[in-house]
Amino acid sequence: MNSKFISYVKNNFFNFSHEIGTVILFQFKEIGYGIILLLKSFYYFKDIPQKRHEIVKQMYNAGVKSFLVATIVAVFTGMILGFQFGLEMKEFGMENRIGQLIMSALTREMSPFVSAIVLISSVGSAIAAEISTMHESEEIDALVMMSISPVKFLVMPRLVAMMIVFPIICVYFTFFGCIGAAVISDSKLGVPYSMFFKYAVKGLHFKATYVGLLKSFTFGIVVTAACCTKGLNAEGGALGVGRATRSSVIVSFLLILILGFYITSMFYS
Amino acid sequence: MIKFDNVSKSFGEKHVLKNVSFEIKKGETFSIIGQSGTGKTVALRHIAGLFKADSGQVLIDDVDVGKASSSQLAELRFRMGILFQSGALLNWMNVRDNVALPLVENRIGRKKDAYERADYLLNILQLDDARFKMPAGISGGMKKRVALARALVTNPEIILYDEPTSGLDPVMTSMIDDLILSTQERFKVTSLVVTHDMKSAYSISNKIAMLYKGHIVQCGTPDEIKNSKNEIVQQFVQGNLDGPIEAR
Repeated sequence: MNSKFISYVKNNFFNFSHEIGTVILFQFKEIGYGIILLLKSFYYFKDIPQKRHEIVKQMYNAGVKSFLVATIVAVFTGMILGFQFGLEMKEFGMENRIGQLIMSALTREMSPFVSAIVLISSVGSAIAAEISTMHESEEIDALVMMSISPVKFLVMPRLVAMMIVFPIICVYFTFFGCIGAAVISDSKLGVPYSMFFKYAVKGLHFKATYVGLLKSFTFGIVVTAACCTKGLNAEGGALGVGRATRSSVIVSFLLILILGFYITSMFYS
Repeated sequence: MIKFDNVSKSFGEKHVLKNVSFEIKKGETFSIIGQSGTGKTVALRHIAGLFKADSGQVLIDDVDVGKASSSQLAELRFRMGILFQSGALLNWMNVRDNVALPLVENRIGRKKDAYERADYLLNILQLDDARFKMPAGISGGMKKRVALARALVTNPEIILYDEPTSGLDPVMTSMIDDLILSTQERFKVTSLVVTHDMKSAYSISNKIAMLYKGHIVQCGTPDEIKNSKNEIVQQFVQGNLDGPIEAR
């Protein structure tokens, strides 16, 4: 009985270790694949003029089609921030300066993060789903057989588009976030629009702005790389497409959180 | 022209090809038949350079596909056209753009010439009316013909057909068979066809090889296969339930 139990534990331990090892190896393999994919995409930047129409199309898909959802999220984020910060500041009689705090919070952290989350959910997941479906229906193999690099044809235009669209949406998000906060400040806190925007301009620091935009730009790169990597490595039919889409969103969220922290600490510590 | 020399390939524990050898001569139409999952498509993908053999060699005009550099491989692939089982057309492009794609993307000649060539092939394949339709708006048979036009657009010397008649009705199957034959006659290409449709295999092939459990069981002319004494071959070509082949 005792020896049976020991061998049972032994076997399960080895199986468990094997599983853990396989998962770790797979993760490293995928990270390596993603880095190489990114480097290859940078190499194909020389073909940007040839792919300009595709880049514009991707910018339209990623940017223009996201404006509505970005506007709604931005306005409500601004309203929530304005309300919560305003209530606290009112206790200290500082509610007049709410515009400065809102602008600072938006440019430094909120806009890059929340706009990235909006784009990951709407565009990143679509990229992963589209590429993984192409992979499953042999379209990627067909491109390879036509001597067309999938990196040049699919990844590079999306990467360039996202590098441009992420910062644009971030600026757009800040603008509408401020409007949402201004509306709440005026209606709930009694801070007039003129006062709100006077202090909002004061909260617009040059460093905070360029660090925020740099974050957005970096998020655009890593999100595209993560989503394309997941899409190109999808396996297992429709189930694989679903898995790739879901994991691309999770990985993108984690990457922007970790990267966001390091960029902040690099510039502000 | 194409030589499979003792090629073996495994995926994990599963040994798909076991020392497979055959040769396809220039201008020949060679079919590989066999049950689903016996490794027919895997063999075809070795020729296309999409898989690398674990052991053995796949030679195209004495160039080892498995050891070819990326530029050599690109050159080899440019001499090939492939018709995938699903057609593998790009869904966001219309039929004409799909066909012209290899020429336009690789900047071979002027764009105008690429589209003229695409129009010429679409005309031969009776797809004039479908030129500006999207792949989602055409039938399965039309998709296969568009994919064939795309495979032919670069004037390839070798065409690889992966299950060209699967999922098609008998009339469309005969039409695709006719197309394979007329393509062979008109463009003098070397063709490899992977199929389990015996009627197609008999009508289009100069030679047929049967793959079973990773081995080539028999390789010969359509008549030799039809009149084979081999139990496995006989059971497969006649579609009998009784015999050494297990239904799976």
